[in-house]
Amino acid sequence: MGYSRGQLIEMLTMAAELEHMLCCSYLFAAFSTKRSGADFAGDGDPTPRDLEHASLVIEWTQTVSFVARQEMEHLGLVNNLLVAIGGVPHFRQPNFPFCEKHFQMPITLEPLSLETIERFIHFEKPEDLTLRPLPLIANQVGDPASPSPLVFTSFGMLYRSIRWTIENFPGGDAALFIGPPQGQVDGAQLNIDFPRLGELGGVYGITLFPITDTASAVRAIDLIIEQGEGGGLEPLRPPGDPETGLDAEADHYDRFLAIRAQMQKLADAGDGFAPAHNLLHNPVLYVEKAPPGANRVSAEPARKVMDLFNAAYETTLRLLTQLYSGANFDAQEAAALRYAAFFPMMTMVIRPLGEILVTLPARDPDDGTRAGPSFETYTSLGVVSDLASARIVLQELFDEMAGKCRRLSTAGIHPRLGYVAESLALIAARYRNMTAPRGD
Amino acid sequence: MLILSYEGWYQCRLATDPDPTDEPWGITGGTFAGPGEPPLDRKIRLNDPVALRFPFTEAEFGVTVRQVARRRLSDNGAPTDTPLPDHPLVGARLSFLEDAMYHQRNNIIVEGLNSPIDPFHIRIRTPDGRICISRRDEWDITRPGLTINDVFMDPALTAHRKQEMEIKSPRLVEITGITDYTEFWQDRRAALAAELENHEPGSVAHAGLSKRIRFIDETRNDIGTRVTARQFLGLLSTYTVPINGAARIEDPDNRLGGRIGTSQDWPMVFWMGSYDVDTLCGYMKGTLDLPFYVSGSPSAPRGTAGPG
Repeated sequence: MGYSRGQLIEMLTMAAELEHMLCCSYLFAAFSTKRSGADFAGDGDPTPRDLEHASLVIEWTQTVSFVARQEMEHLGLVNNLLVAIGGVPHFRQPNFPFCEKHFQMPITLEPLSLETIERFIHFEKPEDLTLRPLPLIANQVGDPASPSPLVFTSFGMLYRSIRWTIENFPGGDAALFIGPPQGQVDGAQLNIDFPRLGELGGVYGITLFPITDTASAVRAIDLIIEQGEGGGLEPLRPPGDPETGLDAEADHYDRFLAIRAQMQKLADAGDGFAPAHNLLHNPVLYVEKAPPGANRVSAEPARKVMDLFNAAYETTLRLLTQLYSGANFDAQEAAALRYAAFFPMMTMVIRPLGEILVTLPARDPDDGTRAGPSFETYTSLGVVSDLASARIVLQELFDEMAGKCRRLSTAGIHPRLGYVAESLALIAARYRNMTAPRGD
Repeated sequence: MLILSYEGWYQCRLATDPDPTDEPWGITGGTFAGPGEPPLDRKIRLNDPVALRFPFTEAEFGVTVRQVARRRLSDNGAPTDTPLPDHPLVGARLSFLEDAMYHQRNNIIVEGLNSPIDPFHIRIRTPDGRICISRRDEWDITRPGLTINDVFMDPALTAHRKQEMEIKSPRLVEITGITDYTEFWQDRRAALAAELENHEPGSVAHAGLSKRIRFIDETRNDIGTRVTARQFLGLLSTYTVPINGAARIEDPDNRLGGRIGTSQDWPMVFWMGSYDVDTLCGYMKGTLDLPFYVSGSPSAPRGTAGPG
């Protein structure tokens, strides 16, 4: 039994890591895009064609962002599963580029292009629908007591093995689902549930629910598979659009195919159409610690904003790790963690900083390439078991980021930094207020 | 007391979540700046719209005073309103000054659907500009100039501007006639498609209308992000603001025939609703109570005017 649980935890941990990496890869591509007619016009006034290009690229950006959001949902569901079966929440990921050969293709941070979309299509490609355990690694110990390394070549294969292992777990639900319920996050807590057709997606295309038994676990896995590569939940899907062939809840694979078709058409027109800024691929602050293939950003303004971005990203991961830890928070404590982690940090700090970075020169002297968010982390992101200490650690991080962003906003680097600085200061103040000791 | 009743369509070109609130183009939320339009700016425009979208025309846009009434209290305290159809403020235009915006910052300041308006500085001006009345509301009259960012965690101060939300409000149906959101979007799509025929392919107008049609098509099943945005059609938000700050009244010709008091609050109660994510416009309706002293009235303060 120990082997099954251990192997399941390892598979889910790997799934969390891969979902997380894909999410960052998609976010990078979404941040990288040109947004206005002026971005396409160069030095002159935008033509109607430039405006149309901008409009189309914004729609692609919306699609890639939507998929990234659903990868976050997958990460959330996988962590609910991890906590439910006695694992620990996993919000770490290796720094980019990630070159292990699970998919015969590295996961990278690159701007939106035909090549990037091809890679995204590869990641989301539908696979064999058979439910079965992962194949054994060569030279496996007979009847092992410890989990062995994982062998898989697609998300579909990994998730179908997870589902098989859950459904065949010795002892059934009572034996498998042993984790604390307060360690899970659901849509009701985030106020994103909305009654609607079937069960696919709440508000923002995200459906999060607690995992308490095999049925809810299988529902989560099927949802992840369905959103990624399609299949499985066909009867719940609303009717499709006869013109594009896309249904309203098209899976990631079909969405990326549609973008590729449109992008290919524009590329074939041969007028040098490029949907994204000219970004450094796999940008990093600390190339000494980075995997091969990473590229150092040397221009100081971009480095400072990257540093702030990484601080915001790491703080968000800390908030999530703490929230999913299953600690005995009171309702106010959990609300404070949820408050900061989701909308405020993700949409008002991380995203704007990412979008600012793709407009800043990457190198000094400026060679025309632009920087981008690196999503680097160099800490363990462990759970802080003492709640009072955790509050202090998180408050320090908020205050420090707010101060740094305020100073950067006055340095003339980018006009949008002032608004981000205000948001950070307000988040810091509200977090302090929400976690302040309360008298009875 | 003068009771000003006003209503009309207003515009707010704002990004909606999960876009950050300062998003200029509209990427992931329910609204966007179309081809050739300026970036989204979040300003609440009660008149003088920017890049007004079809099917709206300038003529049918704008929040204006539709009725002025004089309120008198009977001996038992019951109010009696007498309409003044020829009052010079009938037809006056309302504006929010100082670039008023809805403030939410994606749950940083307030959670859910509440959206405080700040700064709150109202102006009523006749079309010829000869009468202009404005007054600023302060979160804390003892500390003028505080912003929502200064007060959002202090319930004692934020209570000053009350906001209540209604979902699927029947009051909106009275104005818009919209009871079936799906039908509304089908009709809008048909209207946009017909309008598209009037513009050359390759033109900016054509690109803008095409994008709006694609957006409706893409969201026709009310999924995900768009579902809340579409529900804005039936969402009504009532604001109650006892305007308390510095007032300015310009009436050089004494067309008002008296004096507006500024030592008391000016109670303003209004709702904003039926926000249409396609046109970026919504409807506003409400009243503003102005203490008024008729010139020459024997009971006027300082011997110059009496309660109107």
